Amino acid sequence: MSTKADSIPIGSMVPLTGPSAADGSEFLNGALLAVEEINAGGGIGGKRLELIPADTCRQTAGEVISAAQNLIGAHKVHAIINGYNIGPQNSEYDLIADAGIIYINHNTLLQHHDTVTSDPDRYFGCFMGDPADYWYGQGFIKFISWLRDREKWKPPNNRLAIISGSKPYSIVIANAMRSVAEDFGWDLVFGPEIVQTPTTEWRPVLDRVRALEPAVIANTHFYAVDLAHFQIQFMENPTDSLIYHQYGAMHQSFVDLAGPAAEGVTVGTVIGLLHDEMGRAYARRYLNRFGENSTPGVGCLPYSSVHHYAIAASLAGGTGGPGDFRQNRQIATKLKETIYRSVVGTINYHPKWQAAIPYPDATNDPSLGVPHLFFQIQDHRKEQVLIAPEPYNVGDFRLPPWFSS
Amino acid sequence: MVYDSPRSPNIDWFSVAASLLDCLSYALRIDEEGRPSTIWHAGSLRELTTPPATFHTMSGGRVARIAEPDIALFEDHWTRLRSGTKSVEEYRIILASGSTCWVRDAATPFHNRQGVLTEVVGSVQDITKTRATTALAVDESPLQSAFRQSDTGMAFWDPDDRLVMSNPKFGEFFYPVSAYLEPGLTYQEFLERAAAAAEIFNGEDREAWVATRRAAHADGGSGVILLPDGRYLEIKEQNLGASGGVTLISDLSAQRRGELALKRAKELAETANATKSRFLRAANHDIRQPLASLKILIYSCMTEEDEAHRQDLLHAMDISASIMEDILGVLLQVGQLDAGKITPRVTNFQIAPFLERIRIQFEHQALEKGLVLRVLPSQATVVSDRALLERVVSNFVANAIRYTSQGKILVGCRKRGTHLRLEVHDSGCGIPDEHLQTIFQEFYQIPGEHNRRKQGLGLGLSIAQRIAQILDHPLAVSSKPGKGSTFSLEIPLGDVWKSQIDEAEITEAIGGQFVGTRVLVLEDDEFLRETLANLLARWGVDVRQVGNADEISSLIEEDGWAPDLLLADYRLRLGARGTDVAVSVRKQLDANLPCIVMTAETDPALIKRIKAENFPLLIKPINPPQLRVMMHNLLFEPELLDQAAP
Repeated sequence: MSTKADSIPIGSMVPLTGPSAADGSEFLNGALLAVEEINAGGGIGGKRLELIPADTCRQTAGEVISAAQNLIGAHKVHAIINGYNIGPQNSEYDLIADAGIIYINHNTLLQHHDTVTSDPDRYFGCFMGDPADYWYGQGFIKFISWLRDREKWKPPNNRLAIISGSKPYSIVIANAMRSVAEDFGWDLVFGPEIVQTPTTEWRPVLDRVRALEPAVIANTHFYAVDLAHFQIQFMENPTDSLIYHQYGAMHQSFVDLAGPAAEGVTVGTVIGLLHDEMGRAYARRYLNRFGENSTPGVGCLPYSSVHHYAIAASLAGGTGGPGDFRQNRQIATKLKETIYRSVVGTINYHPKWQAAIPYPDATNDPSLGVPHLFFQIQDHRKEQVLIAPEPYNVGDFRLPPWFSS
Repeated sequence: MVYDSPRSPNIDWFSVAASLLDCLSYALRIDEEGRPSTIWHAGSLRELTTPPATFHTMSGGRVARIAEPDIALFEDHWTRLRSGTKSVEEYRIILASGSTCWVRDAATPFHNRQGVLTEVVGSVQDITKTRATTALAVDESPLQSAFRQSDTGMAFWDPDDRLVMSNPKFGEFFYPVSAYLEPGLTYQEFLERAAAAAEIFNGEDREAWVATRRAAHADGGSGVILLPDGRYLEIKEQNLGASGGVTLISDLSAQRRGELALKRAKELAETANATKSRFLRAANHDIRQPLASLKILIYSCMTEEDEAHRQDLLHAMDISASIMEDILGVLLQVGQLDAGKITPRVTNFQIAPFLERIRIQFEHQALEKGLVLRVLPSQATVVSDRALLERVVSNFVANAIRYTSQGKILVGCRKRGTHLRLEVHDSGCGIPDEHLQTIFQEFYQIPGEHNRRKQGLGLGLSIAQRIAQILDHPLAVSSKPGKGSTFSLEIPLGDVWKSQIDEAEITEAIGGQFVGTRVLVLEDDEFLRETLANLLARWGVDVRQVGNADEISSLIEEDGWAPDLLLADYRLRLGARGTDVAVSVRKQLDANLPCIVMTAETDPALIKRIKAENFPLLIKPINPPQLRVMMHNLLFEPELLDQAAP
């Protein structure tokens, strides 16, 4: 049913329709570019890779599971490599485990740790190519403490307000922020307040937060458009508070909508395209291939993981389809053993979690972890400025323009 | 110097080195047939200006030639270079003037991408002085060979104390003066030159050193000299009467180092032994006291019939045992310090949780004594060993509480440049100036305090100081008798990015979405109930489990524990139904408690009925991801509930 006789089918579960379709097409582009590059170099062991997409629509558990069933059952894929699918909360892992194939996702979920460690032998093939959401929380607290300790910003008090979206991802991040805030000298005076998302109406919660005049306001929701509304509504009556948006503010649509109101915002991502020579060269190839309006910064996740898979499979002596547990176990071992410097930094799988180890959150060595990046939007017409961590940073933090002093 | 098309950026260095070292450096190009031609050469060596490989392949040997017995050596040297290996060889050259010299030829081959030898770069050094002791072109006798190759430095002197010959090892031992070791050199001149070389003698009184060595030479004595580089040389002088004398030198360094290590180990063992004896003496008294009390208490307890009194006695026994435990703990710490077994594990960490631990540890103790313990917050990141630092600071605070009868203890930090100064202030009795140094000695007790049982062994500060030394954290004390004391420690400030958070494993139990959520499990199958409770606990849920509905009321009313979510089995014992229980619990709580119903039955009519009552339903066996999705939606995104069950 599947593919040409001597090619290797690789599946990708991506939302090609529905609210995340924009990200979905970039995820597919990234995987496709990697497949084309690998095929141009001779494929894996002389066999060409063939990419087979499966639409996950609104990314619900049911939709993702049927996508996985289709890829495994009908197309006999040797691996499934894609971006993130919010919603299934690891429901799809059991299908992967039963088929004994390799699965690399970028779901950024702490549950991945729990599922994999609950039965390492069963979930041997399940990898998460980025660090868990949990690290956002810890890393963020270290980031604001670093700004404070290095006197890049002098907080008027140590008050912290956390607003969370209602997805597990946002809640986990908010909880992680809360769990370490006090150790680093922050007083959590608001939240984590879980706001039903998606929403574009933030005024009620902002009014309550403003009254506390916190030094820092963090929003762990991650939809770009929702966050842009948050920022616009905050700027209606800004306080001397540092504003941190979770991931979504990385998107161009955030800046497009918020305009000058976006300037001064800080934003973090536990994985992202590096602004170095390697990252820029990849971005040029991507834009040449998919057009000026495509977004290499989203496509880079599956792009890196498809390459990493190809290296591991080559070292293991080839790929394996559903049921070929022996070969796929060897590939899984090679994925864990082979540290790969990709366009997003170093992918080094934790031997137990099977997730990328974050730097500097979980390792002090930048050569052993994927950098947790912090950006600031300093000019809404230009690219965001990478301000941490070293050695990847290219600019310095600036006091947001809405500050009174 | 001659330069032909310089090719290497290091050529200038070769030239400088060549002129300084009295050697000939060269680079050769190797043609397709393996014949060398000179690219460049620099420096010169006596009258040698052509690399040996070049003149060896030229016919006639107009410039020089390799000595016949050494041609094989030289050719082996070239074979190694051609095969791509660096090579060093020593051989003799007959110069154009007819004189011979020993050279050391060290060369490195370079290959093109196809692996063909294309260049050789090397240098030739004159080693005649250390190598040649016999006429060239004459085979050495075994005796001569032994002399030349011996590990003992040897020098023969004639009856007028002039050098007849010395072997290479002798020159090696005295390499700064080896150039002067020519026949005819007097012993006095040798000593004077040696004394002038800083590598051999760097003491004050050169003349005395020369005189001592001269006398030893005349008397045929022996002795050991220590070179400034730490080597020990044994010098044996043997007077051969009318034949002159011989000086023998051997290197005793390894032997000496072994002896010194042995001596140090012995001293350490003796110190440890002495410390152990001191402990045993001190501990003897301190342990005897609670032990004696314990024996009396046990005896009393055996015959005591009044239960209340018995409990008092048991409590007193517990205290005596814990005092002995403390004493043994302290002795163990000192034992580890003495044995050098404590190696700090230094990390970056936040001082705030560290200070909080100190507060929790001592707050109760201070309160019991009527003291106020204040710990001021700090946001700093420090670099230290968390556990060792805690031992030091705990010791300061424990002492502060011990020696303060009223007032307060204050623990605070202040930044001082690159360090954090952690201070422990008390309003205690203070320490007189003359005792400020002695308080850190082992077994020191503040004079005038007699209740030793309460004070302990007087080892605490000594341990604290020794740990502070291991951590390299300067420790200071200041005090005003009658007003109080301040103990402080300087800790390096760290990097907040590297700050370690005290969690070994990052799991959902500590950071998941359900952390702290209260879930009540109602299930009459004990095994299933336990399994579910374990699963939920792994997700960080605050889980309570009950086997029947009757237990729920008391949980809510008596324990004041109200669930955020109910997970109920549908068919319970005695005909009860999970859905009915949910309704009554909601009534009791006066809230619309989210509830998931579980059943193993697959009867479509039943499933329909449960759903009609608006209860989300899970079919057994429970699939964890499904449960997770359903719980999330019920708690956080109720509008997604319809999508939960795939």
